[in-house]
Amino acid sequence: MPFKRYVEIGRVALVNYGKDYGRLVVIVDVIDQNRALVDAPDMVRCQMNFKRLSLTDIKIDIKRVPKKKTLIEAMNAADVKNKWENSSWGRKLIVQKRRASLNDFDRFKIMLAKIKRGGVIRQELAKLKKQTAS
Amino acid sequence: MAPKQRTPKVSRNPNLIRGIGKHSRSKMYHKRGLWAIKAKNGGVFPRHDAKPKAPAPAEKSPKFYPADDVKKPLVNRHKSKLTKLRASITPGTVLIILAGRFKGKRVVFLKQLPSGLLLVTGPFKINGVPLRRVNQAYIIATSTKVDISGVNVEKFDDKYFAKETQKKKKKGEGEFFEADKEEKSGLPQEKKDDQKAVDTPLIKSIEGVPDLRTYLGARFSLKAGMKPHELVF
Repeated sequence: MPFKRYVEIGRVALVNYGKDYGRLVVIVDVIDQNRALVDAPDMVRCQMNFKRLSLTDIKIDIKRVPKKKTLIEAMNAADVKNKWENSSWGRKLIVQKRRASLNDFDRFKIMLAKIKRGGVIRQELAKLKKQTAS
Repeated sequence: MAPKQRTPKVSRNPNLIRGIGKHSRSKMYHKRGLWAIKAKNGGVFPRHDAKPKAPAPAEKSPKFYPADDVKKPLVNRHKSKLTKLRASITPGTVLIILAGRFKGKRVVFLKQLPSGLLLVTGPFKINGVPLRRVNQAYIIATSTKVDISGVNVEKFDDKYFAKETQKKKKKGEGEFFEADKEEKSGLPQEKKDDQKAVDTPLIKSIEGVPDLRTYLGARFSLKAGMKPHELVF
């Protein structure tokens, strides 16, 4: 199977280890075989090992090591935020975060809602079974 | 003498560093107005002679001297501070009781009593927990708050919860079992009224929030996959 996501300048990646865990960053330069120079709008530009990055599908159009302002403009032009939040990976992360921040009361309300939903589904199923049986 | 309203003592000599004041002795003499007090009293500080005390009643010599010298224990004037209430616990917080008869019950916090224990109520109609004291160490504070403004908890303190002392009865062998049955009296009506008085405004504010009533009626338990150190309460 050929590779589809390449390490290149402008590749958007997700940090999967360390202090910046969960942050979306852009690869702005490659230092050597193992490390990349990485930047994000709300972060100081720093180097990261490739092992700490998970590549995404999103790529933006920048030159090598752009200024912060240029980087932000390029990210807005490519609409990275919306693309990420609408992708299935991004949506999963948002749901995980929401689940982790749930209150005890919220968890209780979700339990009630799940029971209710299951009840409705079972009713519909029973109706359909009756139709096919008759 | 009737106690006067005293303003708190403020120092007129600000600290440059702990132990060293800004003004010298002579400056402070002037600042405090000691010259004015002296001037008012004719160049001398006013003297207050001791008031004549009423003669103390004549002390009789004691009837009995103990044979050996008994050592008196040293005086201990240590007063412990009120237990520090966790910042997450405010009046109206829903707490989860972790131990005892009501373990797992979700309960409304009312106030902290002078002994440090927390005053808590079910409300009784919702989950069967009456007005009760509970120790802070055995509860989890959730971030759910109930509106507690309509409730008056001024009258409750630790004496309210003291056990009734029973008069000593002479028990014979045969009377032993009967006596136990008789002594179990029900709750006094006064306590039931107190419970109702606290609970009615509470239940009204609870009804205002959807699902809160069923939430308080349900017990908390850990299910599969729940990690307490990762849960947000």
